[in-house]
Amino acid sequence: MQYIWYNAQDNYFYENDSKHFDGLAINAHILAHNAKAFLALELELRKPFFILPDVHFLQLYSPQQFDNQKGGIRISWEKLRAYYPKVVSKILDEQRALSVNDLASKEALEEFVFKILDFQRSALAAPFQSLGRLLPENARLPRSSFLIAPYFYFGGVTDPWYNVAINACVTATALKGTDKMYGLIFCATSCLNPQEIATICSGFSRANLDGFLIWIDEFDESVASEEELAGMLDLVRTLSSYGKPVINLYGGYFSVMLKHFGLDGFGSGICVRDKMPARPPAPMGGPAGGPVPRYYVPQVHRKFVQEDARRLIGQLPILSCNCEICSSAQVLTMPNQLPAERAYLRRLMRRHFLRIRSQEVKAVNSEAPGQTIGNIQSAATLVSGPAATVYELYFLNRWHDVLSSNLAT
Amino acid sequence: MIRESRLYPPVERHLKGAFLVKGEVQIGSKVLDIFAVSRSGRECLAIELKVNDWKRALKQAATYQVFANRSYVALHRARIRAALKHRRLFEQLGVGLMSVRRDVAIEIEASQSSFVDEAIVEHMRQQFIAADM
Repeated sequence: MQYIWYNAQDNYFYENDSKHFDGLAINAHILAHNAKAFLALELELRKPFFILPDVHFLQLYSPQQFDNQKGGIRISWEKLRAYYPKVVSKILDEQRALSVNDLASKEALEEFVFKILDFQRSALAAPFQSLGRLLPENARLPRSSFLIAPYFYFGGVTDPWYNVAINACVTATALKGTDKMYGLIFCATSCLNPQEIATICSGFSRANLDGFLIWIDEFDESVASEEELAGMLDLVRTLSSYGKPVINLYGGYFSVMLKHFGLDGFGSGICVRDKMPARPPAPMGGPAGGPVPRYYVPQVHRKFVQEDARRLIGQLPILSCNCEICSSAQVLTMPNQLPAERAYLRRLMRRHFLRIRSQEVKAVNSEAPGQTIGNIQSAATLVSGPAATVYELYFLNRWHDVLSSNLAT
Repeated sequence: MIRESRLYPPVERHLKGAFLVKGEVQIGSKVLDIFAVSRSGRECLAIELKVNDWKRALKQAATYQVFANRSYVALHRARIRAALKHRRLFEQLGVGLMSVRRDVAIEIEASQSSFVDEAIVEHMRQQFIAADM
């Protein structure tokens, strides 16, 4: 199951390319600000979706995330604070991070959890009612596929936030009613060692959750060491052993392949956001015409700026793509200098990405694990030599080694 | 500490008899440290200046083979040995290597690029020639 992170500026893709992804993921503050637009989209697409409650913004507070640059709070957070517990308003006013002490009492934690779940349940109800007669008679209020218990980042199992995270899951499960309740394991890469994985999985499993989400701080699949990749695989496999769905919030092709080890879904943006730092980067304006377009080279499962992709494929023409986008437009040679050119190129590259990623997911779902791993080995062999060194493609070997050694165990 | 900008004047001096030379030239999403068009108009060169990180420079210079007939990494002479240990990689990619101090020495000659986009090269050539007139 492939979830795409919702971005209000990506409507073109939702309208034209919706068959190339399975579901949507949306941040709570973005939903608070775009509830009507998201509702209209959901009524049209009828795709499964879930809402990330954005608790990390509060726990890992950074003023730039909330500052509207006019001395106030961003409108999306102004809207969200109206739904969220009182402590959220308090910390926004005091311009400080949420602390363990804020949630130290049972009552405080319960209020926090209740309000955060309530937003996920009711955020679309008001806009749905306001549309009233404009809706078709048989229209039903779209509901999140599952609720996410408030989650907290922890650097290890001795971090005080670790216990708060588990207590929040336990509290949320008690309040779940007829909904499904998922818990998010949100931790540092350093937690990806066998001892901590065992403790974390056992801790979260006690919360009687209906499913698990994973977010490893800035876990970059193409940069991660073999130990980290093996840790990720171990985490997925252990959580999956409880018989509950497991979803990685931010992932790329390695996550696609983890299907063979129990991963049921993963999220990413459209050719962006396949990793995410725990502490969100400060929002800032990019170059005119949007970010630099990146082209996903299917056989090496990695994206490159246009010129790098062109040079790589120039050296290894076998890496050329013949998807419907690449067949109809010269995406690798198209001008890329003016803002409008860049915006158009980026759109084409993202449409190409959606098609390829959906093909990858389908292919892996239909393959035996050995076949998927064999394909990665073939890709690594194909690009070995100077291209692998210069374009840092040795991650393919790391992926292969980790997957094949774990398949055997 | 050696700064990258200190590498520019010797390379410019080295080239300017035979080439029209410009620094910080944007082509597509890339900003090339040096782009040069031969006075005869027949050849374009791209040069990536780096004090230290030869590997990163090599990647950049390899990509510049899309824009130029020949592409070089120019490293400070004090750091050239590390790169020269990988002579074969430079040769396989066809990227040249210059060592720079007050003068410039060509350590590895660049090959003619087989990835060059003639349309881009022609556009740059015209721009340089127009600016020189």
